Amino acid sequence: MSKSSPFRQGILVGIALFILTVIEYLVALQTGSATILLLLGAAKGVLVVYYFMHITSLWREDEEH
Amino acid sequence: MSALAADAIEVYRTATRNNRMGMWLFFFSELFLFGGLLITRFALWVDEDGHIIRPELDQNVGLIVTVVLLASSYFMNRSEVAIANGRKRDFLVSLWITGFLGVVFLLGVVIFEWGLIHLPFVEHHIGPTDGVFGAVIFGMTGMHAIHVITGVAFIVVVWRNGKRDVYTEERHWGVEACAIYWHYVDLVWIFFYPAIYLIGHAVH
Amino acid sequence: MLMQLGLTRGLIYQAAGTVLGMVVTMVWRLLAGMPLWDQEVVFVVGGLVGGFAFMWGVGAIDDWLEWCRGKATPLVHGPPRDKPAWTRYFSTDYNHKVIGIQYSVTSLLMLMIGGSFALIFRAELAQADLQFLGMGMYNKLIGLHGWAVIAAILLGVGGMANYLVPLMIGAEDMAFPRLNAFAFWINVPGGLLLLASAFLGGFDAGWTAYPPLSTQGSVGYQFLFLAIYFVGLSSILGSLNLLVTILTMRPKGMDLFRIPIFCWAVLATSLIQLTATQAIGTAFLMGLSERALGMGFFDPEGGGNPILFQHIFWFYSHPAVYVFVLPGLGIISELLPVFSRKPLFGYRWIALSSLAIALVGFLVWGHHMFTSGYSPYLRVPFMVATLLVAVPTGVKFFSWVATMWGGRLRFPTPMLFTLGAISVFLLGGLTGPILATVASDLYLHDTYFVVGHFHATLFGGFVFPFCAAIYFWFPKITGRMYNEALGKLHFYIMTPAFWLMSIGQMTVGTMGMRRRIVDYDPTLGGGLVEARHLETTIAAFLIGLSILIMIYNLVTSAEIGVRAPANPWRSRSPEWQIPSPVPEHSFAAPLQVVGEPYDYGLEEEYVVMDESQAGHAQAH
Repeated sequence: MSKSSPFRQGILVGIALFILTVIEYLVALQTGSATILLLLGAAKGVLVVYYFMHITSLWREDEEH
Repeated sequence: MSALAADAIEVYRTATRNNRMGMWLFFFSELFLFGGLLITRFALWVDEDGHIIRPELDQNVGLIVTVVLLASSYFMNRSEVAIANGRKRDFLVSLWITGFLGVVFLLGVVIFEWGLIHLPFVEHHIGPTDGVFGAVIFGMTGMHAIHVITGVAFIVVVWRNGKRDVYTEERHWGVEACAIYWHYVDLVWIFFYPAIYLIGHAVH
Repeated sequence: MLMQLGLTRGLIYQAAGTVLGMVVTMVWRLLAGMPLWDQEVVFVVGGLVGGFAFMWGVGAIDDWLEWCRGKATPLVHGPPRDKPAWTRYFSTDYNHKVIGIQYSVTSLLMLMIGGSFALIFRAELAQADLQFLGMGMYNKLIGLHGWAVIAAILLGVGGMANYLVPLMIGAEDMAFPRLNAFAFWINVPGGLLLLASAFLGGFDAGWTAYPPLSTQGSVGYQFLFLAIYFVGLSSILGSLNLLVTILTMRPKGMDLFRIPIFCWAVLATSLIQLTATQAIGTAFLMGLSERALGMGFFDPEGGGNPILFQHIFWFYSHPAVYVFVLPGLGIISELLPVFSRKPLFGYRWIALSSLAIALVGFLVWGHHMFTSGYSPYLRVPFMVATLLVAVPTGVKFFSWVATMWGGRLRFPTPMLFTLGAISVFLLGGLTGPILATVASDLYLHDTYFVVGHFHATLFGGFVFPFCAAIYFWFPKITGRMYNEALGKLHFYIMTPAFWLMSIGQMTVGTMGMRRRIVDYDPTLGGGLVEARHLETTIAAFLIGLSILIMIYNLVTSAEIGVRAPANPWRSRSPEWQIPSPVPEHSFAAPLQVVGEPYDYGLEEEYVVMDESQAGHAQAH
């Protein structure tokens, strides 16, 4: 893994989060559906937990993130 | 690397693994606090027919503070990656931006949503005593704001320690703890934002 | 001398912090143009600031503050250098054994305070009509009795877990010693706030603090909410610590199905404490903010819902019952093999039954609310889930009987209390399904039958096992044996008295006696209710007497008891393989697991110390 790739990964995740937020907002203009909005929220949550919070470091040994 | 130093690093790694598990267990515990608040919101914000409702809130405020908090989360991540790669300047600058955005988020909530600081151009609408709308909004954003404040304090502490070279590529549990805590606060908001601002149809 | 104790400093800081918090609030209110005095807000801020001031004064956050300043904070072990050794018990100390003793002694203290509240109103109930206790005072005392004893039980559970778990898994200390000290000390301001609420009108609608009574009652409720917030914080942080300790600090070869069974009970308990405690925190925080800030969560006028409080409250408070009893049941499983000289029957089943009780316990809270008026369709699933709890509990009972079956039983005091616990818990357990069944609960709800039921479960699940644990580990803790005759006297007074009390409570319940009522109609039950109440009161005083005998026994034996050998019970557990009392660093060398924990009757050991690694443990 090259040195800049974690930086690039952060940018990509940040952009994905931003796009999902805008989608949430646009969806809410049409419908207040709890299912759709919570699913979108869950998608954002998974991104944060996996890429930003490195949940895998809990069980993966000896790997520097 | 001498044998002694290698041993010390190993001890530090073990301690960090334990700390990390403790931190995640704490998050798991907090999940029930924020989950309880979310359940309260969905239990109380319904009309007579059982449809989910929400108060009429300023959508611009909601969207802007959300984007600010997400951006701060991005910079937090950048800061942690930077210290892991030994780029100290990048680490400090990103951390500073994170804290700054956190304060912006707080001010956004305090001024525009709570109306605690009166500004002439802010039209204020809902207070904590205004029925279940007021109670739940202030309960949820208030509990979240307490976590943001502690997060900002944490960032200030880590930033000051970072300036004094406390953290290195191998030893930066403090930065990691601060980062995952901040992301957790962000994660909570990811669910609070739609719950407060978006879900259900608006009622005047 | 007194000023050198962390506790004294903490108390002074708490008093000063409370006053400071109140003054600052009043000044701020004045500046913001509000009336100076609002007891709700002023007392809440005062109590909160006072609590954290205590933690600062006692020194529980010193190391964290140093860490914030970027300084290294190596863990200092051992007794204080320039002070007598006993002072460590009154100051912040990071050794889990010291903290375990601190928890247990505070627990006994709270148990006696809470118990004496009960004795006062039991004396009133001995006869019909009002004698010496006013109605308001009676209501205050029942609320205080409830929460003081619950806090005592939580402290006792923390005491047993803190002292025993690291010793049982051969760890030098807990995973986070500083957090451990913090989690103990936060109980002290919590307990003080709880007792102080008596001076602010108490919480006279019972310990459950249901709105609307709790949101309209005296300001004592605010102190209750804060106190439980502090005690709950202790539960959360303590259980987090125990989970990490059990999961990561076991020696090589001790996999999860080879740890002493008590650790499994603690594991299950900690899972509940870690998660469910947040629910009562949320419920009480909502109650607190409804009172202080007018946020109408439970006020139907603005759309709020008082039943919501009950749901959130019982989402903690039912699993909390398993927090109270599971460690006790773990103690029973731990002690029976030792005194039966036989392997524990069905180790895996007992271990997993603890976990099963904990998990099913999350789905049963609605059985406290059958009469609250929530949707009748929900009653059936809650009833079925509740009855399901009897299955893993039954697994435990059968396994205990099978463990004793054909064993060479010995009956020193700890074994007697273990057997007493089983019998009393059986009484409590068997009255459970009666209350879990909707049809019968509708009649028995809020009667003394319920009181009898939960006193039996809590005595069988906590008080008796706690006494067994105290007598059993007393030699390990103090290095001296307790007085066997006094111990047996304690048992032979407390057990029959408890049976009398519990059956008396259940009987008056079936006669129609309601709980939380200061007076009753003497013609209830064909005129027999008064006699039953008198018996119950006498029994309650006998229990109080027996507890005093135990305290006397413990205090004198610690001074003049016979010197205890390292392993007086011939137990296989790791803590008995090291000298009594336990040295500062517990194990001189890392443990090696070579056998099974409960293979009594076999030659091979459970654990041995790896002497080649001696001294390694202290290096870090």
